[in-house]
Amino acid sequence: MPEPQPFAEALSSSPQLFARLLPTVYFDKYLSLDPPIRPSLRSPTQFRPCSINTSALPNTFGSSVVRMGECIAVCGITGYIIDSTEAGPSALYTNVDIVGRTGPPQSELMSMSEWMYETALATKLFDPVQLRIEDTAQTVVLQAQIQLLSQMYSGDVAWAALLAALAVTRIPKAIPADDEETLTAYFGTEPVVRFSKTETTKLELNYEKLPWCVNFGVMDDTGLVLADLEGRVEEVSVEGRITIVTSAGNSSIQNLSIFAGKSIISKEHIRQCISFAKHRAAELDSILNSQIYQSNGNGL
Amino acid sequence: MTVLDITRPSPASAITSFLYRVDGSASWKVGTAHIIASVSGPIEVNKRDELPDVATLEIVVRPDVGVTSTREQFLQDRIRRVVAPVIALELHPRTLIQIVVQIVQSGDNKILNTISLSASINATYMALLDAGVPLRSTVSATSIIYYTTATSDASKTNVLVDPTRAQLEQIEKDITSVHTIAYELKGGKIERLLLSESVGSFTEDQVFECYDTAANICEETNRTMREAITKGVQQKSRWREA
Repeated sequence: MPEPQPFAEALSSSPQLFARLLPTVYFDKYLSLDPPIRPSLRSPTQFRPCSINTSALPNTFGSSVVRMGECIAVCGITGYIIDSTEAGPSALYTNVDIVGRTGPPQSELMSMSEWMYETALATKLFDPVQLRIEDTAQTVVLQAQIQLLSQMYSGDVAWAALLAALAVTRIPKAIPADDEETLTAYFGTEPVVRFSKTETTKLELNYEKLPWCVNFGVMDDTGLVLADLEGRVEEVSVEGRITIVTSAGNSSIQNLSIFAGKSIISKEHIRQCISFAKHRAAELDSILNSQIYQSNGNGL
Repeated sequence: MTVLDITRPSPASAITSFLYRVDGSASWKVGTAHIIASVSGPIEVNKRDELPDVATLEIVVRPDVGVTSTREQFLQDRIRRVVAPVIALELHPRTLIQIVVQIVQSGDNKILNTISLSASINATYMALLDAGVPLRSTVSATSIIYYTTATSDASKTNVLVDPTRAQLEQIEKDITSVHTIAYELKGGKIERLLLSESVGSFTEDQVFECYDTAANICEETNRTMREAITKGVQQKSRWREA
C-alpha cells in the first residue's frame, strides 16, 4: 500500500489550483492584506492598462484593435446600401463574436450584442442623416463586426473597440454603378450606385468626448468597490456589478446598469462609480486621440 | 428649468395557478403588457447541467411576435440576475428549476425592452411563489420613462410610469431616458435595489429621483401581488368550506 502523503505537503499545492478550487477564499486572502490588493496586483480602484490601435484592417470603413488587460477586441466597420423605405430604426448594427469558436453563439455573447445595439441606438452616436445618399431615396447602413480574441471578454472592451472604430470611420461616396455585377444584382427602382474606392467623407459623431463603458464590482460583505473587474476569480467572488457608459466632462450619463446580486448597493457607491467612470473616460479619450494623431492611414 | 409631472401608473393585475402541467404559473398585466410565466421545479436535471451545490436555473423567454432573437437572450439574462439571488438555490442541489416566460403582449414600442423586462420580472416572481420554490424575499419591478415636451418658456421634463404602448408611441421622439428598476422587499417595505437599467441621456440626480419614485411604485406593486396571492390561496382552499 502506498505511503499516504503528508498532510502539510498536500495542502501546499500551487496558487493556481487554490484559485480554481476556492476562488472566493483566494480573493479574500489578497484583499485582507494592508493595503488591500487584487490577484492581478491592481489596487481596488485601479483600472487595467489600455491600448488602442486604429485603421489597421484593410477593406473596412473604419477599424480598431483595443486591448484592456488580458481582453482584446477587434472591430471592423463596413456598410451596405439599401432603399430608405427598408431602413429600420437604427443605422448601425453590431455583432459580437469570439474568434475561433464554431457553433451557435453563447447566450452571454448574444446578450452582449443586444446590449451594444440598444446602447448604440439610445446614445445616438451619430446622426443617420449623413448616411443618406444624395439625389436618391437610398441610404448607407453600417455594420460593426466585433471579434473577441481572448478567452476573457467583457462588454466594455467590445464597446471601446466600437467607439474607436467609429471615431476613424470614413464613409465612401456613392457613385453611379457601371459594372455589370452591381447592375445585374439590383432589382429596385432607384438609380444603381456603388461605393467609390477613392473618395470618402469622415463620419461625424455627436460626441467630442466619447461615451466609454466602464465596469465596477461591489463586494457583498464589505461593500468595497472594485474598478474594472477581470478574470474568473473576480467574476465569481464579486456579485454586485455597476456598469456605466458616460463621457468625460459634462453631467449626463448614457447608460447605467446595476445588478446587486447579494450586495447592498447604496447611492454613495453609485456616486463614487460615476465619478471614477468620468475620469476613466477622459483617460481613454486621450489614449484614443494620441493614437489617431500618430496614425495616418484610413481603412480604404 | 424643469418641472416634473408624474403621470399615475396604470393599475396592474395578476392571476395565478391557471396552467395545469407545471408547478406554478402567473399572468401579469400592466398597461398594455401581458406576460405569462411558468415555473417547474425542483425537477430532474441533465447530468451535463447538474451543479453539485445549488439548483440549476434555466430561464427561457419567448417573444409575442416573430422568432427568438438576441432581444430574448438579453431579457433572459436580466431576469436571471434579478431572480437568481432571491431563490434559495442551495436548498435543492443537483436539481433544475425551469422558468418559461411567454410574452403575450410586450407593451413596448419597436426599440424599447423596458416594459417587457419589468413585467416579466413580476410575472416570474409570482410564478415562483405559486410553484412554492423557496425564496428569500419579495421582488417587484417597474419601468419609468423620462421625456421632454417643449413649452413656451421652458422645456418640461415629464415622467411616465409603466406606460401603455399607445403612450410610448406618442412620446417616442421625445424620450430622453428609460429606466427599468427592480427592488427587493421584506414585509412590504423596500429592502434594497436588485436591478437598475437606465439608458438614454440622464443625470445622476434624475437616476436617484427615479429610484425614489420606483420605490413607491414597487411597494404598490407588492400590495397588488399580495392581493392576487391571497385570492389564489382562498380559491385553492375552497374545498375546506364544503
